[in-house]
Parts: sequence; C-alpha cells; structure tokens
Amino acid sequence: MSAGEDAIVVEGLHKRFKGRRGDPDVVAVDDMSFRVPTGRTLGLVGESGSGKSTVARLVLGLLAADEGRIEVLGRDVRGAGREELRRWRRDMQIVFQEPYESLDPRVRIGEAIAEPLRIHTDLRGSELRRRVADLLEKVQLDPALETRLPHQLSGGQQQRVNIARALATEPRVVVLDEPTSSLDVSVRAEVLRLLVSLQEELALTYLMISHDLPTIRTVCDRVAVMYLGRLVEIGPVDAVLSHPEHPYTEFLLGAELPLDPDQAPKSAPVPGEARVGERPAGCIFQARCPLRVAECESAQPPLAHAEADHEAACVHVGHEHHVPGAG
Amino acid sequence: MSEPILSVVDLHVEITSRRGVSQILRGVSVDLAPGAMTGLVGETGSGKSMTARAVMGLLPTGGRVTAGRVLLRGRDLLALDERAMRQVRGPEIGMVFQNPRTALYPMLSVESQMANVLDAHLELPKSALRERIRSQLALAGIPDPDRVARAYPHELSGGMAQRVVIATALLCEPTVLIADEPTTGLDATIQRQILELLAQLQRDLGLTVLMITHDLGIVAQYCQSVSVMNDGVVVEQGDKRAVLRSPADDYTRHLVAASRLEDIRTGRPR
Repeated sequence: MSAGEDAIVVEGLHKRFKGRRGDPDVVAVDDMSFRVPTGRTLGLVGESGSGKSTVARLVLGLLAADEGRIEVLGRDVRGAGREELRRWRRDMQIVFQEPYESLDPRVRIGEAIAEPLRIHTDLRGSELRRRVADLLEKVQLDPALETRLPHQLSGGQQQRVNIARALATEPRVVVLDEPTSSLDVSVRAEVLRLLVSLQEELALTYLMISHDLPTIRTVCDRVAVMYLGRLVEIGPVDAVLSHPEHPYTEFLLGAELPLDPDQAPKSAPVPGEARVGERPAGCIFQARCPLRVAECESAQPPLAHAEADHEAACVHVGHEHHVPGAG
Repeated sequence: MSEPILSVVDLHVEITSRRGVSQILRGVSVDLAPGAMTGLVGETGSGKSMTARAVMGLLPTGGRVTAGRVLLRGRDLLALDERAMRQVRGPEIGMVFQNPRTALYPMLSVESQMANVLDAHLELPKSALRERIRSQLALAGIPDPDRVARAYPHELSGGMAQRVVIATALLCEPTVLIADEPTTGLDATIQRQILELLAQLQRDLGLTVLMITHDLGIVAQYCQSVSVMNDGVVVEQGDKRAVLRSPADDYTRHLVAASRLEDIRTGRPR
C-alpha cells in the first residue's frame, strides 16, 4: 500500500450487545464512518459507554460487527474467516490500557516478545534472540531485562514491553487503547514520545483511543469524538480542539483543567450524565445540551461540514453558537 | 497565613513486610490553612496517600509511625487511642476516597449505610435521621435525594456514587475533608462536576480540604496552595501560582513539564 491511501476505512458501522436477562440491548456503535490515512493517527475520544473501545475491537476483527464495512490495509475484515484474520493479525496489532494485565505473569520478558515471532515468523534460535534484543532496544529498554518477569518491571517498562510485542511482527496498523492512562504523568510523556518516534520511523498507522485531550493533541492528526455510540464530530485535531462545532466537544474541552492557574476552563460544567441505553428519537446529546431546539428532538442530525475536512452532527453547525461559559 | 487547622509535622512512617522494612514517609510536613483547599501532589509511590492514611490513623498492616506529629487545632492525633480516633474520623475529619464503588457497601441501601454512620456518632430520632440524610444528599447536589436514599450502590452511576460518598463524609459536619484522588476514574465531564461540588462545599461550609491528586490541573484550578511529594518527602510547597509557574525544585519542574506534554513532537508538520 502506498502513502496517501487509507490504511483503515470504516463505513456505516453498527454494533449492538444483547441485553442480559431481559435488559434492553445496548447500542455500542451506531452508524460510524471514518478513514485513517497510511502513516497517520486518528484519535477516538469519548467517555465511558461512548463505544470507542468497541470500535477498536471491531476494526481488528476481535469482535464481529452487525453492519457496515471495515477495510484494514485494503482487506475486508468483516468478510474474513478466522484463519485469514489470524494471518492478518501480524499486520494489525493492539496495545491495551493495563500494561501488567496484558502480560502473562509467569512468562519472562524475552519470551513474551518472542511469542508472536514464533507464531507469525520462521525466526528461531539465535536469530530469534537477536530480533528480541533489537525490539527491546527499539522501545528503549535494556536488552538485559529479557530475563525478568513482568512484576519486576515498572508500569512504564511493562508498557514498553507490550509495545515491543505489538511491533514484533512488523505491523503496519496499531490500535492504541488508552496506552498511557494507567501510567504516571512523567511516564506518560515518555511512552507517548516513544510511540510518536516509532510511528515516524516505521510509518505506522495508529488508531488511538483516549479520554485524555492533551494526549490526543500531542499524538493525533485527526480526532473523532463519540457520544453514546455515535460519531458527533470529526476533523483535524487543531480544528476540532480549537474550534469545536459540537456542544459535547465543547464540554469535553471545558472539562479540561488548564495548568495555568489564571486561565479558566473553557466552559461551565455540563450537567447530567451520559446514560447508556437511553436513546432518544432525535439528537443523542439532547438531554444534556444547553443549545437544544425543537428540531433536535425529532431527528438525529447528520454530520454536516463546518470545513472541508471538519464535520459535526449538530443542527447548529455553520451558525455562530456557544455553550454557556465558553469564551 | 492564618494558624493552620491541621499540621503534619516531620512525619516518618515505615512499613514492615516480608521483604523487610521500608521508609515510606521520611519527614513529611504539611499545613492546612483553615477554609482553604490544599493540594498534595505526587506520583505512584510518592507517599501522598500514606500521608492521608497516617493522619486518619488508618495505616495498612505493617505500617507504623516512627516519628512526627499530626496536630488538629493543636491536639496531637497520633497520641490518641483507636476509640478516641473514631470520634475524630467523621465528626472532625471526613474522608473521600478514589473509587466510590468500593467506598460504598454493596449490600446496604444508601440510606442504611448513611444511617449506620450517623448512629455511630449521634443519637437522633428516626425522623431527624431521615431528614438529615436527605438534606446531606441534596447538599451533595443530588437532585432526587429520596430516590437515591433508597437505591443500592450498583444502581448508581459513578458520579452519583461519588456524591453519595461526599454526602456521607459530611454527615457529621467535619471541618476538615481529606479527598484522596476523588475524581480519578470518573469521566471528564463528571470529574468537573465533582470538583465544582467540592469547591462549592469548601466555600459554603468553610471546609478545609486536603486534595490528594496526581493532576496538576486540579491544583491549578481548585487549590490555593500545594505540596509536592516525591519518594516520601515534600520537595516543594507554597502558593499554587508560585509553585506551578516557577517551580524551584527539579522534580516539580519535571512534573510540570511532563504534565504539559512538552517536547514530544519532534517537528513533524501537522
């Protein structure tokens, strides 16, 4: 695949989970479409229940979608059989949130990194060991750590091991599911720096799930904002996070607490909470929206262009509007 | 600064485990000014939560204060026995912990567990008890106190559960509130609601708050002063503006820079 093409294409994606014991079904992903160009990073932001982690698993074929098209590196993920998906997995990997939970506590670091290589490549013996040492170096860990067990490493080191494991088979697409949210802030910065430099070096395409806007701002080219399974806004990071078009995005930005004591948050706190399972006829955000008008109650607004590559699902797109307290 | 209401003075704590003895706190001193919110900031293992637990007399098994004092209006809490401490926890110092779900007892309704707390400290007739519980829930910004009082913890959202925890912490009208990472794990918009609530309670009730957090944004926006901890000692403290704008200590500088995520991108145009 040449540069400029899309490494990930998602169109009209739907996923619903069966409700347990007579509970209503949960709509996790509701008509989601996006593309990620090769070598770029799309951030998926949203709060719990927004469906962002579900999207990540659907894209990798770890979960089966109900409807829609998913293409990764030109391959039809939904149409693929189990065996094909297994073979493709070497090209599309994932790094999870909890670094320790992602590692087998009884398996030494070197062996943990060798495992995907044994599955997907013919490397054995000294070649395999050399490759493991290379990978440790690539994630800036001392190759001597290969004999350690996961609990002997710090959280940041564990996450570097998970990154090395994900990169072992030389994937081209990597899903990062909250890769730094359980790490301390100083470690967060180091791991993000590593992810950015690996992307530049290896021309990786990232789909990064995060609820942390500073992380999104630092790492991503574009960002998609989700609310209760729906895509409410998508566009270049700078545009979406500097000139948000959807009121929910404004509130997310308003919840960000500036590190400068004399700079106030960008908006007043939004009342209420997202309720999974509550799906009104009209706009998904209407219950909490201060800009609600009659129109919002009748139909879910489609994505509308604010700029050529910046869209939001709000009736106010293109009109001057601000949520209360926004500067 | 006016006379501190709570002073931690040169506190040393060690923990004995199978792996030996480790010095968790090595001379921690923190002053809480009355009616103010003071931030206690640090990363995992810095000792910030252990400081709070030592203040409350709730050190984990194997933990022991080896030196120092915890003065509440001049009275040394470390000299009190467990019985006396029980009259400090609740009526004098309230606590709010990180995970509201584990702070609430799953088998009891909100009303029952709040009633248990009240019964331990005050003798109130049943109707006054009911009234007090509902007014505290309303104080914590719960719009329908009657419904929430009858609910069980699993029926509450994370934000609502944390409001219940805050209402419970304030039941016996303490003057000091220790909040240990009270919004970690909550969604961003809910975190903001809970912080606004704590700031409002601080103002309206004249509460003195110790805000334990890893988030410098919380310090910048909600605290008045801050103490920065690293490796069992306070490395820097002072007015939040002074500390955040021109940190004197290397570790504080490092923490501020890391929080800003500076210098991560190496110049790729976007």
